[in-house]
Order: sequence, then structure tokens, then C-alpha cells
Amino acid sequence: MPTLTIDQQRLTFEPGEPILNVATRAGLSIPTLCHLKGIEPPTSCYVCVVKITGRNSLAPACATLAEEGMIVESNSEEVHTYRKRALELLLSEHAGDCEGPCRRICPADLDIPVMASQIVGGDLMGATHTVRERLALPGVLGHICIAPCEKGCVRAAIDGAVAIRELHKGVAEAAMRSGHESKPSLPPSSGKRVTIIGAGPAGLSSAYYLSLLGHACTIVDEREEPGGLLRYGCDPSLLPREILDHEISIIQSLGVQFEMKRSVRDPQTLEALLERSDALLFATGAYASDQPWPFAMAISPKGITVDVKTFETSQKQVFACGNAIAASRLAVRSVGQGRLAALSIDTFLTGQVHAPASSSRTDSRLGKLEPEELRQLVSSDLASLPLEVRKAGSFALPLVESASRCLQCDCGKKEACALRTYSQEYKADRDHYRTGKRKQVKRKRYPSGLVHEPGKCIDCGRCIGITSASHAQPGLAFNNRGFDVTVKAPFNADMDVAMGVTLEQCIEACPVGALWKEKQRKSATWNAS
Amino acid sequence: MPDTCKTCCQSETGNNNQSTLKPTCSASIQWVDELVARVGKTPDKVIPILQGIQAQFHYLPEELLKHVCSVTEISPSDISGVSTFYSQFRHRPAGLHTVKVCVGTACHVKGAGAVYDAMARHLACKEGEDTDPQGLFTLEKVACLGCCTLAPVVQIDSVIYGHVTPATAPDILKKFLQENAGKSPAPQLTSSEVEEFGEIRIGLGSCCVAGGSAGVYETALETVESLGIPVRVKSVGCAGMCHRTPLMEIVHAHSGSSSFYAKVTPHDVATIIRRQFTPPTLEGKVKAWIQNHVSDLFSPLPEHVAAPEFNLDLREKPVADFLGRQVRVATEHYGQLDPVDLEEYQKHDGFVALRTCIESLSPEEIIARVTDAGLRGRGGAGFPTGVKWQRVRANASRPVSIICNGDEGDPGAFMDRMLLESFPYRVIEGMLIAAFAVGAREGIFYIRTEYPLALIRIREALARCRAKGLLGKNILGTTFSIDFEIKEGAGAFVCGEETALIRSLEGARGMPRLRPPYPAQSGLRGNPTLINNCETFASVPWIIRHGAEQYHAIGTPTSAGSKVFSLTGKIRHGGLIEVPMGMTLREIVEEVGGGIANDLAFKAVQIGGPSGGCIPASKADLPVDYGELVGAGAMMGSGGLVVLDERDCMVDIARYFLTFTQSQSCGRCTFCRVGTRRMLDILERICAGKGVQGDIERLEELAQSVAMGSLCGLGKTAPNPVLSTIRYFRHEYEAHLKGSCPAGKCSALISYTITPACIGCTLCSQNCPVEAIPFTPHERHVINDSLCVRCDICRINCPESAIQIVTGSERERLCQH
Repeated sequence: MPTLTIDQQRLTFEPGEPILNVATRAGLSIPTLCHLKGIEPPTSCYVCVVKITGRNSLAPACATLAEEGMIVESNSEEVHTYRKRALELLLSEHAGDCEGPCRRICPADLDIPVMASQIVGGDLMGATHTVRERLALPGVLGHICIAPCEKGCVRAAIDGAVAIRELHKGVAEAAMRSGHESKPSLPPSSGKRVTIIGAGPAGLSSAYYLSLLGHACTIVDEREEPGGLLRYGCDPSLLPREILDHEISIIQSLGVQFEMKRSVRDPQTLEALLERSDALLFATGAYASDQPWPFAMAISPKGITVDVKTFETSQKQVFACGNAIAASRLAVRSVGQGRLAALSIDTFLTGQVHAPASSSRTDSRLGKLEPEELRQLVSSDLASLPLEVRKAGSFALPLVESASRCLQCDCGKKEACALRTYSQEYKADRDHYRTGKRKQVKRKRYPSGLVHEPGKCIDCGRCIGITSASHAQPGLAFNNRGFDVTVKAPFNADMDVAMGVTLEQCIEACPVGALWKEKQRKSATWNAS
Repeated sequence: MPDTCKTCCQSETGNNNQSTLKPTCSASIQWVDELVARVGKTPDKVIPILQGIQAQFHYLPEELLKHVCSVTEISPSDISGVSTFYSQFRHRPAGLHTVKVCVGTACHVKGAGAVYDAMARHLACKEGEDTDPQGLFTLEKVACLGCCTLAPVVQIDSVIYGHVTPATAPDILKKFLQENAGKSPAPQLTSSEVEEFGEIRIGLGSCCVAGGSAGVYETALETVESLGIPVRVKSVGCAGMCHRTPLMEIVHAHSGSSSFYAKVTPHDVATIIRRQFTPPTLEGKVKAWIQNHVSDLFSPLPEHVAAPEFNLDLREKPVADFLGRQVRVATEHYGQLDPVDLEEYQKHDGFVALRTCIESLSPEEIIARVTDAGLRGRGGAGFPTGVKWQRVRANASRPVSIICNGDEGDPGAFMDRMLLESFPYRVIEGMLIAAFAVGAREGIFYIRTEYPLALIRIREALARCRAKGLLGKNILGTTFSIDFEIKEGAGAFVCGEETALIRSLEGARGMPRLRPPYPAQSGLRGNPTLINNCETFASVPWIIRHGAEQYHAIGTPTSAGSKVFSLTGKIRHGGLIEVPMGMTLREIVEEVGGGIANDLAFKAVQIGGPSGGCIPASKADLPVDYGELVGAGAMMGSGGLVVLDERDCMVDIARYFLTFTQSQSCGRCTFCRVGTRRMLDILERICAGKGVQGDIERLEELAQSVAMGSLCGLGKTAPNPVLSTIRYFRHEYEAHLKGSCPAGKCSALISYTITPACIGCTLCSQNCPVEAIPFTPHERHVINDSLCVRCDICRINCPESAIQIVTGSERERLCQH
């Protein structure tokens, strides 16, 4: 069999085989946005480029046939630079944000648009999961959160922000009534023990997520009852105690131990706690700065000094989060940090790496939209879905109406989007080539559930390849030339009709959020099984 | 006729006039059915069908496209993809007449943009519309009409107007309506047959016709007939001296002497003929005598000057330089042959080479001769022709196709048009030799639809070849058989790329594909296919007749032979020239072209069109050679040579070419589709005075990426105009970033101002289209800068040269006052 060399690896190939196939078989990963098995290679995205010795331009690996003795470079800095530039060019014409501004602002990273969509779709289980993915105390925050998310809502400037806080409050209440959330399934025990000092919002939140990751948690607090500032700094008229108690009881039901009325202000106790634990988390709330620090940890006037990414203190095995590292009156920030600290501790204990928070991922955000684009978003918000869809679920109609106002200005495929994934991987800068003309933000919902957003299309040609390979009628075609190329259904037919039997296949194949389905919206790790 | 038709088709005239058909009526449907029956039903017929509908309705009515899908094998997605790909097709109704403003390179540098703006202002089209409110004219830009020496050029329906200015643009519309509405100006091709006394040769190439030679031709015919002079009035191909059209040459049969007349008007024709020939009959002599006297009495018009002043003396230095430095291979017998006269071509060694090949050379010997001659593809990239033929020949066991690429898309070049119009038989002969050498069984002329005369002439020439046994079955009585057909391109520069051209012939969007496989292995419908440019084919008969050595003796070791260029722009003697390879650019500009017009300084030559680059005057001693040009950041290209002077802004030139390539990109590859757009964004903002620091470097980075990451030649070479102008004129880019356009071209960076030299004659004020100059007789005029649209009309009209363009700090100082 003939052979070629890819990244110093000698590989055999069948005559007539493209480089991409050979590389993939050998376990080398070459990114591609347009190649798809079963269709003629569109060779459009140029993200799969490789360098072939002796040729002065780059070759798309998806369609360049392997030749005997060929020497291919797929992992060099030069190749990576061009891939990055291709991604940056695609980002420059990609009209749409990955995340909505509400989520970007939320200190706990709650996936608000997905939650709204699930409420409208009547998906109680899905909505509960989405909320609980990020908020260990959704009902509590539903009462007391100052809701910074609502200030960022795009709709705020049009006809008032979506009442986001009411939404997760509503989800929490509906879940409480249904009793569904009280029995979350736990993974097998990891055998690791974590001690958390402080039973306030940060401590409770970290205990919740650590338990879900299989670690045995103990919360130590000097007060009589858990809740910290939520109980001792919040008026019961603002935060009804039954809500707080209910959400703490859920945490308890996960097996979290509470050692109340135990002071940890002396070094000996701390030493003992550290002795019996694999990790220790300070979620103590703000320490009065005149008190001596019991541990030999680096501190500043703000609080305990930590690594901003991992929440590790200068002391090995010891972490800190919440007001203990910087004072704030934002409960939602403490809840968010509790979760992030939990993930970091998990990584420390097991080596498991977690997906970065959405805020640190690539986001193709456009900034200010044109008035016409806003009008378009409003006219295709969730309220534009048929009434029977919106009435079908397990939420009260006012809540559904409220959630229906969400413009869904994030992307329907933000988790599955290959452009986003590769942009993250190649550190593509969305603004590098944003020098002028871009596509228009546009969205059309079809009765079949298809959502078509031509502004996000990167003209890869997959859907056209699929419809043409299966002779779907009338099919799709590229229209126009150059930058003005668009994928269109002939004679202004409906897109879903044009794709015919290949509709689901096309939606699945679309590498970005140009084709997606409303009912398939779900949060990052939400698994219906 | 069905009932539904009574409303629209039976108009006042009562007859079923096709042009009044409404798309929705059943007669239209029937018309389409007939078209389909004529053209065919298979998917590859989509372009001819669309062209038929467009010709009839001036746009593509959706109802009819749907109907086409229902009665053919063409699918709705194919028809929508194809009909939106090619520039020729419109999807919304058009006005009664179409005004096409040529924005080719030569026209651009001579102010086509201002002409377009003036047209738009005059027609007052509504926002987003391209048709005037009365529905009379539709205004379009066209990539190139190939009449570059008459720049700026405007075509209204099929009438071409040269040397249009913003001031004369509205008059042209009026003139058109008065003179041409409703009648077809297509020149007659019938030559008179008597030639006892000699010949009157009148150039009827597109440039000449646009210059008014059709009228000259008709008058000559009338005069000869009325005076009974036995001379042949003959339409001939391009003589190359396009800067002096219309041209008329008179040849005396007995003495063989000839006189050349340039810039002839129909008015002068009779006088010239009467002076050159004495009518043989008494009646004729009397008539001539009377006419001579009458015309002298009644024509005191200034333009009616005595004939000798028009006479172009070949001993005159500029003419001698223009013609003397040229060699004639592809353009042999230029200006002497009636393009479609087959016998005449044969009398001038025509088809001798073909006979030699078929009767006494083997295909291998022919290929060897072409290889030894060192002939390289004249379409642009310069691939060795012999090698290409050899590769196709190697697959001759399968059905081989041969294609003549006449899809000349370079805006600012017209070599292919001229060769097809003036030397149709030479191109056909070269193609037949190639067909014989590679074993082809079918042949196609792919000619762009913007060249109607070339299409007419090739069609006629093919028919005459068939009639004489030079085409079709058993050519020249041998077993060699092949026929050629014509396919019209529909307006897409990228279809000059061979794989895109093939896709287009197959009835698809003209999108290039990855090579290999090369067309030599898998081309048209998967068959081995040879594609060569017109000029490549036109060079072959000469090589066969004179031998490889003689051809190789012309030119340089790596670039053999001669090259046809269209020499245009700010040159004194523009035209179609053929020069030996190795001649320097300076020799071409200063000697052949007679230097820069209007005594301005020679700044640069743009060679190779959108794929080429700008060579500055300081580097003009560069020889015309494939390798040398690439080394200098340009390329040979197909032969466009646009000369630029000190008033041309190099950033504007780069932006101009990027606008072109960006609009012509097929849209497949990310780097070309988005990258060229981003380059254009940056160039546009630099020209608009909104450039930011780092823009030049950003342009360079993008240019390099687009060149590296594009599939076809269009993308790979699209950055060349930008890279070469940055390389040689970086200081101009930098000046723009600082708010100044040194050439005084970029309208956002300049102002017009009136100096104290103004005498207050009010000409500027009268001619200003936007009333930016108050009418103040006898006082120094003032321009209101905020109203001024920078159309340049006032500056051109000022008799005292008192209107100046200012930029940069000077402009700022003036604005403060």
C-alpha cells in the first residue's frame, strides 16, 4: 500500500483517499466545518488546510488526495495560523451572539434563554435541570437576587426586560410542588472528603455541587442553623423561611453533613479539620479584618488571596470563595463561586477537567444591533410559537407568557456549534477581521419547528450537498456570488419544505446555528435519560 | 389564442408582437415551450434557456422559470442557483432600454465612476432602484465592454458611445432616443464585390463601430454606387490603431499604393473617394465634378477640412513607432482582411498550416513543434501549450473535447474580442490543428455574451468553413472530422478559469473545483478536455508555417514569440498591439504608445488586470516576460496593459480591482469569499479617509492569507493589485491614513477650489450639476464644498485652469477659512 507522512507519522492509504480520511484514521484531528461523509466535499471552509511540502499554497485536507511520498504538515504553527485566520474570517461574517447578554452578566452563569425556552415548551424536568445546573438555591435567589441579568436584557430598551428572576423562581416552585427535584441521582462515592467552613450561600452551593460529583461533604458553621446571611441577614418577609429550609433540605438529602454551633476560629480546630479532609474550603463570609487569621494563608485587605481561576489559597489543599475572598452583597455571586470552587476542588481531587464557564468561552457577540434586526428578533420571539405549543406544559400560563417574551438572542446551537468549538481551540479573535459589512441578524421560525437564521450561515454547503445527494425536491441552492452568496430555497419556498425528508439530517449537519430546532434546546450537560 | 391572452397580447397594434408579451400570459408559456423545443430539455441547457428568456423579456420572470422546471429536466434549485450566479441575468423587470456604463479599468481611470454618478443623477432612480421612474432606462454597471481605447464607454442597448464625460452623459440619453430607439444599428457585413480599381477598407471592429465607422461604411457604399466607381468597399478587422477610429484605407489596385485616413466622419467620405478615384463613366465624372464644387460651396463647416489632413502618413514618426515596433503573428495581415471572407483568408496563407498538419504531420510531430516553439498559454498563467496538448493526447483513447476560451473577463482588455472579430479563421485554424493533434471529437467556442460582434463573426466563419469542407465530416477530404459549436458565457469572470468554464458549459454555477484531476484527465462531462485561449490558438498556424525555430527566435528564452496587448489608459496612442516578448514596458508605453497623453507624468503600468499588478515607471525597463513580471509582483495575464499617470491614485486602483474580484468571486472558499471583502472594507475606509493605523499591515496579512488559502487562480492572484501597490507606493497608503490623497482622486479626501486666476466667466457655475457654484458674473467664483460632488465638470470646463484640487493640509487650511 502507498504511504505518506503526516506530522512525521508514516501512514498508509488507499489510492484515491483524501488526506483528511487518512489523518482521521490515524487518530489525528484536523478541524473541518464543511466536510461531511456521504456528500461531495464542498471545500469551502478552508479550516482543514494543511501544508504539503513542495506546494506553495495550502491544501484543503478534505478533498486533496493523498499521494505516494507526500509530506503533510497539519500541526505546525503556520498551519494553525491560517486555520485561525479562516475562523476569524468566518466569525467576521457570522451574524449572531453565542450567548445572550443576560447570561453573560449573570454571576452564576445561568443559561437563561434555554430556561425560558423550556418553560415555554412546558419542559419542567429540562427547566429544573437547567436552573439547577447553575443555581443550587434557585428559589432563594428567586426572592432576593437583585437580578443584574435583567439590566442586560436586550428587550429592556424595547418594551421592558424579561422578568428573569421570576422565571427561575417559578421553575423552583413548580419543581417543589411536583416533588421531582428532591430525588437527584448521585454518582458512586469518590471516597474523598471535603470540609466546608460556612453554611452561607457559597458554602451551601459548593456542598451541593461537590455532592453531585460524588464527594462526601461536611459543612461546619458556628451558628445554630445553616443559611448564613440568608437566614441571619435577610428579613423573612423578603425571603420566606420555608423556601430557604426547603432548598437546604435538598442539599441535606444529598448526604451533606452539617456540624453546626462549632467554632473554627482557633488554629487547632482548623488543623484537625484539614487532617480529616482531602480538601478544605473557606466559605466563611467576610472576616472582620481586625481578627487574626488562623491559618498561614496569604491575605490582603480584601480577604483571602486566591488564584482567580482555581480558588486555591497559598496553603495546599485549602480553597476559598464567596465573601471570604472579596466582600459583596450579591448572593448570586457567592452561589456562582460556590459552584466554580466545587469544580476546581473536583479537578484537584480527581484530575477531572471541567468545561470552562460560558463567559470564558469564545462568543461571537456583535454588540449593538440595527433597529431592523431588533424588530426581527421581537417578531420571532418565543411568543411567536403556536399557542398549543406554549399551553401544553406543566407551568402556569402567566409564567409561560412571561418566558415567551424572551427574544432568544443567544444561539440555538451554542453548545453544538463547531465554529465556536474551533474558535475556542484556535483562540480566534472575533473582532480581528470585523472591518465592515456583515450579514444581517435574521430569524425565521417554521411550523415544523425549524428555526432558520441565515445571518449565521457560513456558506459551508453541507445542507446543499445533502439535499442534492438525496434528490430532495425542490432542494436548496447557493444564490448569488462572492460575499453575497446565500443558501436559498428556490422560488422563495419554505426552507423546511425545500429540505423535505432531509430536514433532520440538514439540521444535524449544520455546523453553526443557522439551522436548528426549538424543541431541541437544552443546557450544556443536560441529558434526558 | 387562449382567452387569458386577450388582455395583454392583443394590444392596440392588434398583432402578436413578442416584445409585448406579459410573463403571466399563456402565449408566454407557449413561447417558452417553443424555446425549450429548440434548445433542449437536459440540465446542461439551463444557461441557453435563461439567455433566451432574458433576451425576450429583459429579465427572468419567476412564473416562466417555474414553467421551465416543469417542462425540462432542470431542477428548481439548479435554475435558482444558476440564474443568480451570472451577471447577465436579472430577476426584476427592466426599463425599455438598458444603459450599461462600462467600469473596466481603462474606463475607471478615465472617470467612469463620475459618468455613472452623472447618469444616476440624471435618471433620478429611486433609492434601491436601477430604473428611472418612467421605466425608460435601466442603469447598470458592466465589467468591461472591451472598447477600452474609447474610454469612458457607455452602451445603450446595442449602441456604444465612447469618450463620455459626466457633462455629456445626459445628452447621450437624448441622442439615443432621437436616433436609435427602435432601430437596430448592427453593421451590414456584405461587401460590394467589384474591385477593378481597388479597395476601400473600413474597420468594423467594435471599437471602430463605437467610433462611428458604420456610418462611414454606409456612406462609402452609397458614394461608390452613385458615382459608379468599380472599387470594393470592404469591412476589415482591427488595425489596432483604436485611438484614431474610424479608420479608412484606400488601396489602388494598379499601383498598389495605399492611403490611410484616421478619424473619418461620414461627411468626409465622399470627398475622400472623389479625390482618390476618378469615375470611369462620363455621367459619374460630371456628378463628381458637380459634387466637388457644391460641397465646397455649401459646406463651410469647420470639421469639413480637406482630406489630406486626415491622411495618416505611415512615415510619420508616431505612426511608424506605433506600427514599426510590432510583430504580427496572431494579428498577421491586420487591417487588410475582410474578417469573414474565407477566400481572402485562404489567399493569405490561410489553412495552409492545417493542410500541412493533416496531410504530412503526425499528431506527435505537431505537438513537438508547438513544444519546441516554446508557446505558452496566452490566457494568463503561461502554462506550456505543448505539454498541455501532450497530456490530453495521452488520454485520446477516450472521447476528447476541445474548448476555445473566449471568456475574456479582464476589465480593461480586449485581445480575445479583437482576435475573434478580426481573425475568426485564424483562431478556427489553430483550434482545428489542436483538435487534430490531441484527437478531439467535439469542439466548443466559449465566448462571452458581451461580445455580440465576435459571436456573429465566429458563427458566420464556422458556417463558411463547413460549406467549404474545412469543418465537419472529412475535413480537407481526409478522415479527420470534427465540428465546433458556440456557447455564450453569461457574465462571470471566474469562468475564465478552466474548471469553472467547464462547470458553466455543463449548466451549473461556474464554481472552480480542486485540481487534480486536471481537465486533461477529466474535463467536460468527465472527458479529457483541452482548453486554450483564443490567442494561443491564433499563434499556432504561424508556428506551423514558419517552424518552431523562427517563433522561438522572437521573444526571450523563457517567453517565446509575441504577445498581443490592449494598450489603454492615459496613453497617447492606445490600441491593440502585438509586440515581441522581451520588449520593455517603457518601450511599449513611450515608443509604441507615444507616451502619456496631455503631457502628464508616466506613473505606472497596470499589467495583468485583476490578477496582475502595478509596475511603477521607475521599474518600467522590465521586459515583457512571464518570469520577470511575476518577480515584480505582477503577471502577464491575458494582455491588459493600462497606463497610469500622475493623476491616478494607487490606493484607488487597488480598491478598484478588489471591488472587481470581490464581486466576481464564486463565493466558495472562505479566504476569497470573506477575505477579499475584508480587504475591500479596509481599502474603502482608507479611500474614505477613515483608515486607521495598522490597516496597511492588516491588508498585507489578509492578502497573504487569501493568496495561500484559495482554491483557484482568481483567489490566489486577487491580492496582487493590492500587494504590488503597497510594495511600490506604500507612501500613498500612508498619506491616505494621514488624510491626504496625493493624486487628488479620492473624493472624500479632496476639495475643489477656485484660484484668483478666475475671470468670473460663469462656465463652472452653469455646468455644475448640483448648483454648488453660485452664479456671480465677473467675480471670482466660489465652490460650496458641502454641496460639491467632485464630478470634475467645472475643472474640465474652466478656460483659465483656475479650478484646483486640494488635499491634506492645504485642504484643511482652506476649510478653516
